Amino acid sequence: MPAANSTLATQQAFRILLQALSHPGEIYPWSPSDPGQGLPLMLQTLLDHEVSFAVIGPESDATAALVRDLTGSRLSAVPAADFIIVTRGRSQGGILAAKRGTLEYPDQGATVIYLVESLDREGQAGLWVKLQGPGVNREMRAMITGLAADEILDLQKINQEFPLGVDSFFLDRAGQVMGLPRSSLLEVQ
Amino acid sequence: MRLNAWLQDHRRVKKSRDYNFAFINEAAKREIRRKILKAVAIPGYQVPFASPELPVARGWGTGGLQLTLSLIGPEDILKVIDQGCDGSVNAVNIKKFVGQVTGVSTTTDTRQATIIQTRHRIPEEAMTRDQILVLQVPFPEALRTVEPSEAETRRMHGEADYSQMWLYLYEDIVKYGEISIGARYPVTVNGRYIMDPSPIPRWDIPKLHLAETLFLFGAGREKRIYAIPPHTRVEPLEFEDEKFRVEDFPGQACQRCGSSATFLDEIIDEASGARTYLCSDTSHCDKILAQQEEKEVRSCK
Repeated sequence: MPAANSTLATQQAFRILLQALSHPGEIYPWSPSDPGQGLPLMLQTLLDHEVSFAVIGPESDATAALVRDLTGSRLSAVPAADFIIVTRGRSQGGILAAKRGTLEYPDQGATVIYLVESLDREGQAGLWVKLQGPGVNREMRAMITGLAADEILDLQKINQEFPLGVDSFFLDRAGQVMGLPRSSLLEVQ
Repeated sequence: MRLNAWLQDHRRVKKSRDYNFAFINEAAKREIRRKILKAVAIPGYQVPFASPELPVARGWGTGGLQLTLSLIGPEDILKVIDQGCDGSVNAVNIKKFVGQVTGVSTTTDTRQATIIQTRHRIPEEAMTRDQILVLQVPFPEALRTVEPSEAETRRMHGEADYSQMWLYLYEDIVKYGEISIGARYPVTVNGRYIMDPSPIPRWDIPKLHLAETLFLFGAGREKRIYAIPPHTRVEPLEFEDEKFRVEDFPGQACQRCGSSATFLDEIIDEASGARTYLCSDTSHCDKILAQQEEKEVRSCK
């Protein structure tokens, strides 16, 4: 499963994640040559035995096994997890239990990885999200297909008391990624 | 294939293979990377990190170095500056070290570099969104001057209780007629956290405001990472009637390139006491000089 040279693969992957989180709402090609490898690569880049994770959504057992085998990370309940993977873009309110950090240590808030259908600049089928805040020049719009509208409302709720909150990445089937830090102001359109 | 070229390449590869790529082990890199992402998500907030040992003493740029080593890949082009200078000891040693453990190419040209590690200056030339500036930080806590306890400064940041800092600035004005902080001028990031921008001169503070570039700050000895993402509001602390101002060099210009629009170093001749001025950013100074020479050559033709 790991790439031929995982040291360099994760280095490149991290740079894309860093760009994505520094420019919220922009869509970055992640692993377009083999979209199926998108999640494994992200897991290898960020997770290991020092952090815990939880999975919400269908096929959570299979995904949890993949995460454990690949990274050695510990499975935990959602309120204690450092990383939360939401399969099929719908947590049905589960995400509201995520760690948001404390005022002294807001960095302890969780990182959420949403697996969605697609991320686009144009189209009508999906959910249009408008972003403002650090990293965004005035405003940014992106369309997410395969994400429940409630998720964005939940993220708004979770992140309304900055610096407390969670930071998210959206990973689509075509192997593209988008970042959404807690500092972004969100609007569903 | 030329023998010398092959030998050089072989030595370079061999050197870099004696260690993991970019020296730090992968688990430590992952921790640093996770912390960098949190730092970007919470602009201006200091994220604690493990800061493992490096073959460089703490306090000599290990924070910046760890950020650079966690970011860098074989395609990157690295520039390292120390007080604006590409050729000073700290910069050269860090550049050599990173070159040895990664094999990346290095440059002195601000525009060419993809990652710039710096001690106490931001380059004069505007940087782009594809570049990353890594700043070495000796004292990450802007509130340390007014509060010695880390637990207490954490609380103050958490509650955005910055009255002591404002009082300090007020007292400074009462004592000296204006805010006397030179380097390390405190700023407010994204309207929330007061942050230490590292000992850059006031001159460089406006460059942090709504920039195109990502700024990463690493304090190795103090074990803190923080960040300013692109397009983020960065405001120096000031009062309505006591505005922030940058250093001025009235009537002075760089002796070498003649520039009066750059940050100048004052050089005092110990014997005669005479003062001369030179650009602090050596690569920018070189560029201006080269442009002038080119113009002269053209006009001679």
